[in-house]
Amino acid sequence: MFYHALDGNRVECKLCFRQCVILSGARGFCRNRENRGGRLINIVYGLPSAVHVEPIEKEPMHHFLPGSDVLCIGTAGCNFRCKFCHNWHLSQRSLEGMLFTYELPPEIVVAEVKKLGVPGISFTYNEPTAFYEYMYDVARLARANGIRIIFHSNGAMAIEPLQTLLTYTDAVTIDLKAFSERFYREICQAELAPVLLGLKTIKTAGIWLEIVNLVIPGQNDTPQEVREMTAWIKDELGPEVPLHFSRFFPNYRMTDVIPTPVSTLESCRKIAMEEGLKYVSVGNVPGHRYNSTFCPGCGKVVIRRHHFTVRYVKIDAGACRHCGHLIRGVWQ
Amino acid sequence: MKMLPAFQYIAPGAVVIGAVGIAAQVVLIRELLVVFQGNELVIGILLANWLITEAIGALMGARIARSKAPLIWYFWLLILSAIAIPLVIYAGRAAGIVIGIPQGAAWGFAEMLLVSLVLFAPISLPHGALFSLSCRLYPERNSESGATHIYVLETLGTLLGALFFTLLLLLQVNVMIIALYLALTLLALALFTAPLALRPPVQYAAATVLLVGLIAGLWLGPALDRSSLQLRFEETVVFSQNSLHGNLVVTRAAEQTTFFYDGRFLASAPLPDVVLAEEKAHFPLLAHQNPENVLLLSGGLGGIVGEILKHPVKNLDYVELDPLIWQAGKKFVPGWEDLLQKEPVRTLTGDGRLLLQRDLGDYDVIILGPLDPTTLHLNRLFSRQFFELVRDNLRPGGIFAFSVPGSLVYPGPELLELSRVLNHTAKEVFTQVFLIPGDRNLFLAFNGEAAGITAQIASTRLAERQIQALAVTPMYLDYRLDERRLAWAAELVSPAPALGRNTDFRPVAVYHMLAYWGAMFSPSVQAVFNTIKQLPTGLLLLILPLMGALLLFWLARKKSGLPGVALYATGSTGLAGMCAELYLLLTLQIMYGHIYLQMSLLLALFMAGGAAGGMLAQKWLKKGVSPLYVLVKTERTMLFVFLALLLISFLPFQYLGPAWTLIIFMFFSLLTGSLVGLTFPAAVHLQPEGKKTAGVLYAADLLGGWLGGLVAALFLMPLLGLRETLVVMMLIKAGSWLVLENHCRQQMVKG
Repeated sequence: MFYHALDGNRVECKLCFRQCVILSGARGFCRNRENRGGRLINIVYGLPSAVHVEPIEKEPMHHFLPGSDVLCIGTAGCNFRCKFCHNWHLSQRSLEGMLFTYELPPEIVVAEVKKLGVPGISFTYNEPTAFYEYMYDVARLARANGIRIIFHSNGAMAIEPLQTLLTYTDAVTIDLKAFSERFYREICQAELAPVLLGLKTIKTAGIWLEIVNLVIPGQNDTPQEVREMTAWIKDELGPEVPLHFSRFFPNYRMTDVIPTPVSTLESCRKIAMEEGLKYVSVGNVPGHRYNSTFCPGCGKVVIRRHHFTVRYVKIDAGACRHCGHLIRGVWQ
Repeated sequence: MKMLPAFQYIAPGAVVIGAVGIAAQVVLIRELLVVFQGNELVIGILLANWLITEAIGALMGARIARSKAPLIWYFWLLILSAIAIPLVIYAGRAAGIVIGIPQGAAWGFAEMLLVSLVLFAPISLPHGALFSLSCRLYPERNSESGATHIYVLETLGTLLGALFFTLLLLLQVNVMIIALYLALTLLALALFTAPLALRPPVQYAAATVLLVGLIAGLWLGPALDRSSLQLRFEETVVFSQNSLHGNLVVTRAAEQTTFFYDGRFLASAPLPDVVLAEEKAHFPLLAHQNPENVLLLSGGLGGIVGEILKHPVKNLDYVELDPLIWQAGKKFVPGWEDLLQKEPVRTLTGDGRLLLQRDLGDYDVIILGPLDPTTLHLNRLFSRQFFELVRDNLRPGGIFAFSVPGSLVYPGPELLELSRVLNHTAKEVFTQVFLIPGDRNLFLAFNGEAAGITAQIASTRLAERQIQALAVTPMYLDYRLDERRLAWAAELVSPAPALGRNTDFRPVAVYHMLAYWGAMFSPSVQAVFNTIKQLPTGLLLLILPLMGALLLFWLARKKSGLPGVALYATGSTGLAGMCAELYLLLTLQIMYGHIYLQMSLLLALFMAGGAAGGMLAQKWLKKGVSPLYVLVKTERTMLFVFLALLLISFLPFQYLGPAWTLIIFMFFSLLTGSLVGLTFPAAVHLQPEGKKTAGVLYAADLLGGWLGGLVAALFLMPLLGLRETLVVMMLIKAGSWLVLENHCRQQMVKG
């Protein structure tokens, strides 16, 4: 799916912003799309390496079936090279470097979800663009069986494949890793502009969208950058898109950076609220008061969270139980 | 050329150069280890680059020595080294910025290799060259004994430098100040030689500039240290200190204080990594019915102590190896001192393993802090023997909790193999072992009848003990102790590990940690580790001796017989000597504990042995003893000493006591060092052109030592075992001994 044949058996991949030109026998930047005699094949199709049931709050996804579990699926490969990747064991390896894979064609995934009794499937852990064809087939089949579909992405998918996928998607979490080209270039070997375009595309499609921003001290935490980012979200995506500021801990190749001070996260939240965003939370700080969701109308807690634990939900028919203010999200 | 009175200048100069050389080497390697967040492999790379540049320096020095003005070269090389030492420390801290590594990002393999080479060169090249120049300027320059004298004196200097450096670390002297003192020492030596090397006006000008520069440097030292550290960290550095055990840096950003130990993140305050601290404390304590007596082996700074005290604990023994942790904790963590003064807490400073050997007490739960088997000495806390020690200190039904890097999602081949090794090793010692997968795979090993842990049991106890935790809630317990996930993890670690169990004398866990490091930073390094791992043991045992035999054959042919064999003997003795010393250090740690002073003593005796051996050889050679005879006897004795070393590891040290243990190890360290020292002078005398080849022999000695350190620490000791590594060295030395013995017999026949 989504490539052009070129001369000499070369192909141009049209799946993400990179638009890799792939020689016969070679693979794209994502390590998964292989040119076999002029045909682009996704080599991880039906071969996930990580399959687990997780709380939906872990995505993070706060306004979509809170307190529920989802079946999470991930494979090898990624189209970014983030130096702080939490799941680098998966994302920064090729299929050959995998310790194991499960043979799980779409029908089996759907049957498994039904057996488990969970409401949905999340394509997560590594970048789902890297296993697009598999995700697309599972999503299509799952939707036909009444199963919800979400995915957690870096947002740099090309517009056409993204729009095609959104037809079978219920909700998306996007990592907006920073609001500077420098960060995307130096830390992720990627670009910011395609991510912003992807966010607008998801919003335009009317799919439930949440954004997560991992705040890395010294890299993406200046008040000015946070203000510009949150202003852009409000202007382009609307004030009701939930935004999660997440605490960073040293990881993978970024081990010389301090964990994010909690006051920095609180400052980020304050700026976002000042810019007019309605649902801004603080993540990776268990027990923090802003881990919960507050009603923009009365300011009271409508979803009390403790890390991944949902203690209560005070939303009835999409409205705050205290004041009746409409709380945007997918609650049933 | 002016002649220098030997005992006024060149002889003490060799001692000073040796002393400054070792201290500068250790300061720089420690500093770069912190910058690179290095492990055993990085130590190997750094040592290799140091020794290679020093060997090149020695060869360059041999050429320079033939110039018309060696004394002027000698003077300027001293100046260059002196200026370079503090500058290189500064440059090391700023290197990341210079080569464009984003702040906070770790270094790749190639970057480390190149940057360390560039940083070492201004110090180690002149240092190597000064050896060759000293040989040339020494009054007895026309005899081989001149080179030997310099070798002995420089070795003596190395010994003094090592002792002095240890003392500076004990006194917690700042690294930049140490570097400036070293520069001062070299400058003083240069000033002594200035009257002979320079004309009067230049001489006075140089002396004035140097003295002014030095005083300014010492005055600016602390500021220089702070500003260079600031280049590495985005935040304000509020504390930086070296101890015998490591380097601690504390930074401050907003309300948060962050601790880095040896360049790695250790903890943050006031809010630590809550999930890590709570899981580490609550999972093992909730698994126990009544945890009254608890031992925590390091890691308390990250909030674990406070979490442990939420349980009905009557006694908590908390052990830290490095006193710097207490010092910095009290200074920078609010409430830390009060917490440690609470009734059940007893703090102990020292080596956890040694304390357990002394029979600390019967514990219900023993928790090992978030340490990893990244080095051979840390492996002592993950070996079968340590597990047995822990089991013997646990009450029936007691639990031992330890963790290694892992994943809640997908572990990767290196981490899975590491967990398999530790799972199997623990299962040989404990009744039952549970693995709770996570970013740190947490193992709970039970002594006696295993009660296990389920989400239900843990939740009930959480409620009974009225524990208020931020992350560990009943719902979180359901998630983390989900039966499906536990079964998945148990199934993954159940197959037998490819390299077998992890023991003191065969630390395979270190190998997996190095492979894991390779996977993160260099796929090519990882490929090397994977390939070597698959080689059969027999081949691993024989590959080095076979390569050695080929090299010996080639050298014997190329260098017309005996000189080539003597060159090989020098290099292989450097290699075997390094392995033997490593063997002694690690075995002492295993038997005795992780005690730096005793280790420094052992190293000092090794070097003293080297100097004594050199002098002894000199004496014999002056008396007319054949150098070939000295070399053959040395080689033969070495084989016997290695055999004895092999046997001492089987001695019942627990009955001998620490004093006798130390005496035995000190004796063998001195003996091994003296055999290394005996080799060099004899080999020099076997060269056709005497001193002109001293630089080549010196380089061979250094390269052999480097190869020994690298190959033994990275491959032979983890894969084959410590004792088997000694067997490999015996096979290598047997080759050169046999060839030399044959030459000796032929000479006797001719004679």
